[in-house]
Amino acid sequence: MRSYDLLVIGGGVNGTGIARDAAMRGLRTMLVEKKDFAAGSSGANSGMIHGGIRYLMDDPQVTRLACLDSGYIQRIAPHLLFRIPFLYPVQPDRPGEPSLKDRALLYGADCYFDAYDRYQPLKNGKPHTRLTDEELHDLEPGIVEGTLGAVTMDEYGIDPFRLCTLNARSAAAHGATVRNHTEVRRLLRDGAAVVGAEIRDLRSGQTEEVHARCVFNAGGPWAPKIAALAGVEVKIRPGKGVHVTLDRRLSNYGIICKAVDGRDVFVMPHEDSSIIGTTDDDFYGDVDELHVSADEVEYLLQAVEHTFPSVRKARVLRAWAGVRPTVFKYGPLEDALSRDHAILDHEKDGAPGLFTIIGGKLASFRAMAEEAVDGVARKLGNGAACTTHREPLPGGEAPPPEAEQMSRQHAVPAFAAARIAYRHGAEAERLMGLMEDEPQLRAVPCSCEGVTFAELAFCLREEFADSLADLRRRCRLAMGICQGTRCAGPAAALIAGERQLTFDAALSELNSLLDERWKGNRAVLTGDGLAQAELAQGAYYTTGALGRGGGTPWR
Amino acid sequence: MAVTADVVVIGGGLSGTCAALAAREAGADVVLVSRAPGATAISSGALDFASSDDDASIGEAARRLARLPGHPYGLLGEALVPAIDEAIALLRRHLGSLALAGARFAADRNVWLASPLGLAKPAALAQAPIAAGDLRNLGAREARIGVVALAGTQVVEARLVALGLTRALAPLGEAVVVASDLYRQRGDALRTLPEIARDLDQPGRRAALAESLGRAAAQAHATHLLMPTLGMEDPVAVRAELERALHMPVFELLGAPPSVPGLRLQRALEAAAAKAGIRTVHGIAERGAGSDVQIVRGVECNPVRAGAVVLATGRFLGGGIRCEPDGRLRETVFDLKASAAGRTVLAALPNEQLFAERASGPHPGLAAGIHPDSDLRAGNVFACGAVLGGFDPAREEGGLGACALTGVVAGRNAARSAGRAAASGPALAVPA
Amino acid sequence: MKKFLALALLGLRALFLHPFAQLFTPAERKGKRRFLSNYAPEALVPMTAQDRAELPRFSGCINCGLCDAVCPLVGRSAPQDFRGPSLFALAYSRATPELPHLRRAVAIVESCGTCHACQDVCPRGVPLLDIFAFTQRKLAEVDAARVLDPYSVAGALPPPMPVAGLGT
Repeated sequence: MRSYDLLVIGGGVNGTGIARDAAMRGLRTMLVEKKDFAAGSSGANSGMIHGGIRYLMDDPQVTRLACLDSGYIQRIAPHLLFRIPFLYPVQPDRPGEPSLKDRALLYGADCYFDAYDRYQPLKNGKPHTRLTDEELHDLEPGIVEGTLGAVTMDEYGIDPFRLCTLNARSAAAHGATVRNHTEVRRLLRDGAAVVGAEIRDLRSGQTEEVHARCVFNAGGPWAPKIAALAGVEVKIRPGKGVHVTLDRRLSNYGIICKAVDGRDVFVMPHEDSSIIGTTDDDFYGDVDELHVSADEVEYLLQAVEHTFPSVRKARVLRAWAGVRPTVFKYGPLEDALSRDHAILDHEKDGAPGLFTIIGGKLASFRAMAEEAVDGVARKLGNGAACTTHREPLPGGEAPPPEAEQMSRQHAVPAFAAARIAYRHGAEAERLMGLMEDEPQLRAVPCSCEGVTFAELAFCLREEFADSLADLRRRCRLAMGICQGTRCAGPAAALIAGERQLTFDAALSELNSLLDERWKGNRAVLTGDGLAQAELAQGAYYTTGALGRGGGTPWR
Repeated sequence: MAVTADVVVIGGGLSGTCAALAAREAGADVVLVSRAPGATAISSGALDFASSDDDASIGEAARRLARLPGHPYGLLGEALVPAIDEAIALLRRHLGSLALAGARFAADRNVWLASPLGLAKPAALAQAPIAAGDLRNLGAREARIGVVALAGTQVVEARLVALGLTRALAPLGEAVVVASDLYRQRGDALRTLPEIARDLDQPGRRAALAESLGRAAAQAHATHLLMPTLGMEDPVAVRAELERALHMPVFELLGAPPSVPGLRLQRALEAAAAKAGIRTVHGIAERGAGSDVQIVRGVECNPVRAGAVVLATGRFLGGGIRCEPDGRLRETVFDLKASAAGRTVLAALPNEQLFAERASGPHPGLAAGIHPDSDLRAGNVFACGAVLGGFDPAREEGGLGACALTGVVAGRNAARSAGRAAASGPALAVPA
Repeated sequence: MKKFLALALLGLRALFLHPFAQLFTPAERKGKRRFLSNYAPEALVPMTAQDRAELPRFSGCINCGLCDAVCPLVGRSAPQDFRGPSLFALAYSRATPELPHLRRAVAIVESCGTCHACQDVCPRGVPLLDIFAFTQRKLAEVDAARVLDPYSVAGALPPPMPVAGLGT
């Protein structure tokens, strides 16, 4: 039975961020996550690191800190961030006939964004601009006619899966014990004090007891369930958010659209696709079973169509949902709920030693983690300073080599080298080295996302990946246009080799990946998606005979 | 310039070409209109009519499928089994270059072939180098199948195939990976199967391949070799040469996309059509002004005068059936009524009745298509192949075999109808 | 109280500071020109009207691999340099910021003799030759925009490190 200073439950952006900070300060830390890093809310959001512009009126200090933190994230993982300039058009109710209210709105937005400009340099953001209707259409011909004009500013996008994985790896590099695919079955008590947990490795089935002086509940939507293990009530107002992925960047600029109910819906570039999102609805169901309805998809498409009609001609790859663990408050509309975070010390609830973190946003994870670990470190008598804003995450230490140079030097296609450089930064060199050591790992099973066998092997060997689903999160396997049609089979074969799987286990992995992809595709099947489904079904079930599962009927 | 024929077939895949060949054999003058390859060119190299878990005969399994609601086999009644015989015979007759092997009659059983995932796929017919890998024969005695990995993703995939085959052939047989050193350059790891197939077609490569395989097979103590590809042009000759040089049976794996056997099949169909005197016109068939069919190619537009028309445009992949953004199902040439599980609109998804939650199905929505009468006539055209609704190849409800079968029946019926039309008067226009 | 103060400051800015500042800002530091100088050097170029009209037709690829199988250029160049036309539809034409890193890959289609084999064999009718042209066009636009050093930045932080990926 091992003993730690801090046990962190939950491998989302907060859990991995707290584990990293704690480990860097010298606390003996363990992180457990029942599925995989960013398998919950952290992997189902818009993927943006933004500067909290909406707090500018209420609390400019918050905005300033948010922009500062965006800058810090940029410094520690520069390879993961990509800039998203946003266009915010003002559409009069009658196109071309702006009312006084519209003009005031545009002018007000101009001033507001102007105020935000003060903080942009903190995150290497650019100053805002104001565009006339004509200038707007020069920059984006697809926007409807008759706007009053637009204001623009920029934020950053990020791959949230990579972020969480790198946090976890950094924590491990600083001595933390990191265990995904491991669930907490019960909390250990010594009287009222929470002193650890009984955990179970879901792969091997083995249970063990872990002692920790403090236990941090970072379970997100599962936080109430975990707190309940200690008889503590943690209240959240789960907010379901749905997104839709398009097959390519419709534009390099995000467009802020108004939905039929007046809410903001964004269509924004995300790596090499576009994402449309999001909704916000109180959710009362099982957080492990999220489904997307046709209404939610139509709501999003209608919202974007109102400003950008050609979205209806775009190819929709899939729809997906996540749940925000918003701090509970009875009364406000979902959108109006505070996005503030709350760090709860359950000593006052009769469970000393247990802490919970809820609420917050992806963008503020580092600051939230700092605050969380400050509290815990004080209790544990550790006075080290937080350095998570200075030390780079793995791969962020130096710029990666240029993709074409890697391509020439290592006989790797340039598009795969470029994607490796984005996802792994300076560690791209390690992947190139892997390809030199094992030449067959050069092969590219996934053309859509530039995934090589080498990257799959690297994630399995170095990044706590243990299933095809884990690989999908870490390197975008099957996340591209063909949604796994070409790459799922080869990937199953690769993991079978790396993990010495039995045939049945390999097929099980393949089926799991295909099912998970199908779940998202099924919600948006029209046009091209049906042709893609016909090909994928043909490849795996007609040609592959996957539906048979390996019987020998001829005997 | 008008295109005149007794029978015009729209669609040059397996079902369309079978329809054209059947019509030709019935004495009709046939024109085949083809836009581009479809699902046929991406198929595995095997043709399946029907299969069952208890390894029943093809005809018996087909009769069972005929009982599924909406399945096109149900339209043929007692004529189903003779039609299977007819289709098998026609395919063997015209696709000699592919050297199809396997069943001769509906009364025969399916062969069982190694799939690219290491599972066993039942099929009635397959290209001979593939059919030679019938697992029924391989598992009957001690065998050590060498699953050959040449380059590219097969190096990793061969392992999965070997795992699966070992399971299928146990206890007498087993499978191991045999890695060939024919492709040794660093960049060769990127080569796809069609690329390798084209390389193997080059003079001198077969000998080099044989040499490399000889070494590798000996090291692995293999008794048989399962090749990921035997070249594009002449797999029969390559197989013969390898067997001669290596003194062991050699066969080929079914093709996952991009499928070399699929491309071979498509090319063999085109050659068979040409040899049978079928005129092939490249273009897009559309319903023209008024009620005629016309063929569009670039800016050219040629009206068609036909005694009978056969629609063989395929499903979503081939472009014969489309689902519009608002969810409406459409048959894309004549606007015939298309449906899936009785519904003409796929909207209000996700819908369990149309698409199951798991990828393994069943997905009635993917079996969308038109539903003709027992003569395979819909509206005033005949129809065959995947444009017909009610069968999902991915659920083993008939695949290329069903396409060939319905093609033969539709082609024959179209020729007869055109003959009657020719006897009774002017060319039959296709009504709006 | 804080909110009232913030509102008051915003009001001040709106009524006085902002119009004043706008008056003295030169044209190239306003509007569309400012926007383009902000972002275009980082390969975040706009879509043109022609792009907008063509883009919806580019989305039909299902990664069947038939075009790669028939393309005569495959096998003529080193494998790492050209894998076939499908990559243009599946990878290169999806995000313009990646194009500067794919310069050689995109340039290979200059040896494309427009034999049409890829387009003729495509089951979905994807206009591959148009996608080639689009990709080359966007790369040229990105090159033309990249006259400024994208890494020169003023501010509280050290300059960001050059990013090999999607647009910083």
